Amino acid sequence: MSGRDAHAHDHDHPHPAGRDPHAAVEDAETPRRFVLLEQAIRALLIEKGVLTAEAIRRQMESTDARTPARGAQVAARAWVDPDFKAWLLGDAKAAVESMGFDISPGPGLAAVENTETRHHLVVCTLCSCYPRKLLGIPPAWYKSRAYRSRAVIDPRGVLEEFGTDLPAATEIRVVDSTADLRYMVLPRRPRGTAGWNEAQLATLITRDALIGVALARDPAA
Amino acid sequence: MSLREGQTVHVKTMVPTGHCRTPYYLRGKTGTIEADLGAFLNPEELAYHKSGLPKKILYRVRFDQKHLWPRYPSARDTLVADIYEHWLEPAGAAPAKRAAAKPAKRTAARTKAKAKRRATAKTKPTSKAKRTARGRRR
Repeated sequence: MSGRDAHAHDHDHPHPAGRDPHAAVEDAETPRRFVLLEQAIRALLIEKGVLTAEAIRRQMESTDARTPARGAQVAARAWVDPDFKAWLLGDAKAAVESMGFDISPGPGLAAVENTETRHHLVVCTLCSCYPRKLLGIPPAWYKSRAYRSRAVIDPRGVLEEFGTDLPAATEIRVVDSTADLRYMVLPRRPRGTAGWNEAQLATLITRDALIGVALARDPAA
Repeated sequence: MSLREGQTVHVKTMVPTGHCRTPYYLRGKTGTIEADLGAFLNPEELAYHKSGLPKKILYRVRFDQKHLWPRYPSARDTLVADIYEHWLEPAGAAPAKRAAAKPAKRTAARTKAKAKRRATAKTKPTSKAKRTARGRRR
């Protein structure tokens, strides 16, 4: 099927003329070099009995099951429980694992707290280090050359482009995660959330707030 | 070498090849030890299937943005990065002192050299630049 006429069912997304909106997702071009390399190595590892296709699938599934929602739960607990917050800021890995989020083996984890006077923004200028074991796969822009270079030299400009306006009096502290620790930001708790429970608070905390390019959602907005 | 919190340190200007964990923009800069993060197997060795021993102490080092980027608009903003001990030296050490004695001259000379390189690059690409351009097209 192609074009608009073949598309009779009832929904309202736009359809560019001349293109089948429901075409199968396929690689249009010849696979690139590293894709071919990965396929060849994977086939060899399976053939030699080092790995099984099922083990690879399971690992991919487990990786995809890690989402920023975990980070949101961690941050929400820190907002309601001062002892947990102190633990998180002192030994993030242990604190996070106490909630049942297994982030071992892997690099250590550190949490940095945003306050009224200081805002943290996380980047990895050397590659794309990210607390994957807790938050899952990083967004594509986090790995882009533009973000990685501009976040350090012009963090205020980058924040503005993300729609995050901070007062000039706030210290912006860029965290370049260059080595063996991964960083999560503990955002500021928004006003008007007194009496909210952990689950309610967690809905205000997004991936971008945990990276520091945004603030926790304002319930009044 | 053990560095203490609050100590002023210099990032060495080494240029080793390979899997370095110290970004170029911090090399030669002065910062303050923010925290001792513990000892880790040296990732710059681990990357090449070596043991990574002896372990290296990792420090969180704080820099003023204004120091890193002279045209940075705010004197308030900072940057922290995690840097291994073998990249750091106390700012009072002899090589650091020499660097601090003639900062203006060194910067001026560097700017001049940079401008010259830029001018050359515009008119006549070096063979290295040509190679890179060809490599990218491929």
